[in-house]
Amino acid sequence: MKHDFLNHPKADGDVQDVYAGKDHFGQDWTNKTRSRFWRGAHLSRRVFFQSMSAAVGGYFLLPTQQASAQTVSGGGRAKNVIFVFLNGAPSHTDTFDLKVGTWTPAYFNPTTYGNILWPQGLMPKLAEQMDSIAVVRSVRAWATAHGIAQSWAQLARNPANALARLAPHIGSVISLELGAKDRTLPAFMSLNVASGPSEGYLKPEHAPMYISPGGGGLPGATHPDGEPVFNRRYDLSLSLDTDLRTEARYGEATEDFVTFNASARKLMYNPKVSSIFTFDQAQRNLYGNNGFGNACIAARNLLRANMGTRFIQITLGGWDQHTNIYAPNANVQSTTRTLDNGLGPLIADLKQDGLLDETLIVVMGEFGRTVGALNEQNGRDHHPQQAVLFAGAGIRGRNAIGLTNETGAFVTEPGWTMNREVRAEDIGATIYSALGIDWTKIRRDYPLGRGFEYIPGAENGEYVPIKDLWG
Amino acid sequence: MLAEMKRFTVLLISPILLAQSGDNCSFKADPDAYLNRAKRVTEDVALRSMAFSKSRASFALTGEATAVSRLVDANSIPRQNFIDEAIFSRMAKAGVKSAPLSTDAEFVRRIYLDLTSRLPVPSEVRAFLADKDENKRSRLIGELLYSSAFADKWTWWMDEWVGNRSQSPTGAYRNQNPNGRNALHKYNWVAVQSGRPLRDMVVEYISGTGNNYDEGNAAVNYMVAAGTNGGPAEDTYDTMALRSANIFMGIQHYDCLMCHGGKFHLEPLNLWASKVTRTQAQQMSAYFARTNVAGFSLPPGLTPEEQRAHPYSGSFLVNDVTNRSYSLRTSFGNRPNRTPIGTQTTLTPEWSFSHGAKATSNNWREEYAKNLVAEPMFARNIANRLWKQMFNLGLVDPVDSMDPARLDPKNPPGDGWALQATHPQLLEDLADWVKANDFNLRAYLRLLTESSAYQLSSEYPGLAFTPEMVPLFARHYVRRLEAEEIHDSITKATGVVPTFRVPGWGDSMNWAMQVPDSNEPSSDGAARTFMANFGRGNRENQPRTQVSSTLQQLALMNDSFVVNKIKMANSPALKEIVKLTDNGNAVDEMFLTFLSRTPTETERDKAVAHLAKGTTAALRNSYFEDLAWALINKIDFLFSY
Repeated sequence: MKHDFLNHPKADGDVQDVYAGKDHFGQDWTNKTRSRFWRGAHLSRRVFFQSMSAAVGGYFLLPTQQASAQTVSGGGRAKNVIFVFLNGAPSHTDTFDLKVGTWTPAYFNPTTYGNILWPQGLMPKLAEQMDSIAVVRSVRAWATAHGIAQSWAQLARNPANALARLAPHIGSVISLELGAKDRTLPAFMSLNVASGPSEGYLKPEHAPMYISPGGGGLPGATHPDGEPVFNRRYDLSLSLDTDLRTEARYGEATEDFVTFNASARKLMYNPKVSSIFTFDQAQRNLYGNNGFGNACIAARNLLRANMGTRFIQITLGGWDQHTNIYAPNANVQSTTRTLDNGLGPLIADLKQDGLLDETLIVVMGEFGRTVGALNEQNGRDHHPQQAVLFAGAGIRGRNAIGLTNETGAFVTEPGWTMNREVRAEDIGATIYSALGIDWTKIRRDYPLGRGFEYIPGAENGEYVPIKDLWG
Repeated sequence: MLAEMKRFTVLLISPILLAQSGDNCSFKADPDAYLNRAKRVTEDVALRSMAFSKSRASFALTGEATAVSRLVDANSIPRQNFIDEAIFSRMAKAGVKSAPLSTDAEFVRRIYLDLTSRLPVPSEVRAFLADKDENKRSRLIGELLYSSAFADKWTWWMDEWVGNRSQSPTGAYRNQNPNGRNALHKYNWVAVQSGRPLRDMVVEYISGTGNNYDEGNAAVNYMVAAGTNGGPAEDTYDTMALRSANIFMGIQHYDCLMCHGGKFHLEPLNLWASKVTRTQAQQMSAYFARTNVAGFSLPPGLTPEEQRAHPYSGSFLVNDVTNRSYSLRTSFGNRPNRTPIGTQTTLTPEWSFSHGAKATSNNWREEYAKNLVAEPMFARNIANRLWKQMFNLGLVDPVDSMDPARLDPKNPPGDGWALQATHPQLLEDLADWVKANDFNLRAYLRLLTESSAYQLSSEYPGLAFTPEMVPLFARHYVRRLEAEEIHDSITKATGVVPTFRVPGWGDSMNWAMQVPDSNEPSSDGAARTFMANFGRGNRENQPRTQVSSTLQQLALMNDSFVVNKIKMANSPALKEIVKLTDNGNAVDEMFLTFLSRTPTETERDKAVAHLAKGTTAALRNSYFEDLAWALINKIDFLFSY
């Protein structure tokens, strides 16, 4: 099967370009004629006809029934994901796909680990973890406007497509797939952000629980007037509702008020839950003493406690560095230091606990930034080329996949099985497959009435996991 | 290899499939999910109502034998209007007993919440219960229909219906911005308050012109919000047409039809849509091809500060041109390429429904609006959506799944198809009534709420109620309150009234039901965070929900928003009640304040016992606060039942 996104064949008939140049969305449409840029969930012609043939035969043969649960070699054994989202889009050529030029500050100290060129001076703690780190340099974003590209990365699909209206976050799908019934904590925790792509059409139990850990316990799990007052009130409530809470004349209760009240109660004054979100200044200092570091500590504790959380997103903003990107102690220096100070110790701690092997860490922004010399404001603007860092889950370390040209503007060698650019959809497939989830699955309960594809087009092999990470 | 051969075979045996444009449709992967959508709604309604009654202490005290004896013969329910004829004769024919009529206490809380979204105060409940006038229910309905809270609630309903919002959460649409959103909110409020026919509003949504920041023509915000990025202008015309069909005719299938014809795709789902071609759908889009939505050009020579401060900064002008049509030559975007039909490279409007008319004048949007409001689907859709709002289950549900080919009882669909509505003739009669009464919101709500069908009890005593009975409306179905209603109930019961500020809005507001957007009020993060737990949606890609969750329970128990409002020091209502020296009276007053009902004997005894522990003034205050907290955390606080 041929995949050629860059040079799509001309179709029949004469076609016109309605837009040339950039639209007000920041997307450059030049030469995008006939691209599949904005496509959405669909059944490919091939699979459609296969289904139709089955229909002719009297039953539907659905793609998911054809495909057995596929997992990548070496993958499929992870249990958890930590998804570090670099909101604002980091400069790939200053971080994970380092390109050295006259503009590069000396303190970057470019150093080679395996085939990765790494700014050791900028991110020394991650440099110490290179044995566990791989970078994929052949990643290209579909869009270069923040909002849409951010959603794209978290949904692994085009959010502007009509069929993506109710699409759940990758983490919500993982909650659905792997969330234990008796979990105390939500399967999807989202740290340091208060909103974003959510459970979509799935049940609210798969929504992310948004927490900004400060070290003082789980917010909302204690009563503002104190535990004794809470207990008194709760007891009164139970006694007023004696019949309500014990009555079971209709048999199995539905997911009603009472059930949710009980699960909320489980989170409260629960020393195990509380200890996850409680940490002291010494701990904070080890992780950089800032919000991102605190979230990394909470992520580590969540995995150690193993109370049901499977997907942890940590959002770190500040990467939209259009001006003065190399200003001392600001912009790229400050954001990468924050990332390095939190993520370095996190990888080290997980490795020591033996948890790293069962945890896939993915670090990415929504796109990359312009390359080469800086712009007029000494910054870097939006650019679709980007690079993504992976760690854990048994991937091979000191390993760079894909090669960009000398400036980092475009891919020269995709460097992976598909021999094309890596897309957000492929990264979604990689995450699912690493957890043993069939990324080609199509759910039949999508309210928009068309199958909900975990990864659009995946059933047709259009997007696949990056197996090469484990190679 | 096998797959390759199979594909080859299919190509040979199904040549007709190749002629269809919808070759990328995944619908075939999913036929039964769509078919079962209505069934799932029915099951949800049944389970919610059963779980609710199960959870209510008052019901649990009733023994099975007493319970069943309270069911009544459907023929014995008084007929208030033609709704009751339809509902109860069908019920009797099915041999199903009806729940009894609601008690006055049940009714008073329900009607306040359903018409105004605010709880009654104890004096209002008492006055209603004591009133001996047999027309008191109708009188109360009349008073509430003309209250200011009514205008607030139904302005919110209009905002939700047409998707009024400041920013597009996905970045997929043009933004109305706070000024445009506020203007539309005010426009809707004036229309609801002054009793404008819904038909006239819809005509202005569809065909209005002008600047979207101007209150007078703020209806144009409806068009602004349809702007679709990432594709040619035809994608936007498609969005305008499919939103309008969905919102104003209850037909969602244009989202399919704008990509491919219905044949071989929508048969299991919608008889009408299965016969519509993509070209016919695009001819509906063509009505919008002359719509112009352009960023307002500020006068030249302004400094950047002056530009930002300009009252029309960021606004859009909506008007019409006279010379465009719908192009069939597009090569990218959100939908499959549009390709010429023979030598024909453009489409002009043609109405797909009853008239089959082509546009006769130059103003195509106006033609669309004229056709729309004359279309039977328009009246059916309004009748059904408002029925759903009051009965918590549509005659056709989901309300956007209407099938024009399966609604007219005089013209039933062919073999294998049934009429779609639970009460087909009733839906037609309601639609006719709405039309005959000039699409008047208050008049129609009065018709609905005065019916015995609406006034049934939500309790269906005994174990006899099954999901199969749901379409008969043999009981009133419960609904969880909207986020804003929960906020306002806590506010009203405690008397701790906030002052909200909304960007671009001069006056302050006191009620969540008054804010113009589901992400407001900006000025009060605590209220916003609290309400976000209850699923307000974003009027674009995150739907509003009434489901329950763990976080909602945490919020009700521990959010300082709740805990601060029940503090004796803050709550004027509690300060009054605590003065009552008799604890029995105080407990009654507390239940009336928070739950609009008096307590059961068990509840009263337990609550009195708790208050009795308050031996000092300070302790007494604390125990009153405990009771207020427990009442807010009771299940019936969260529901309209």
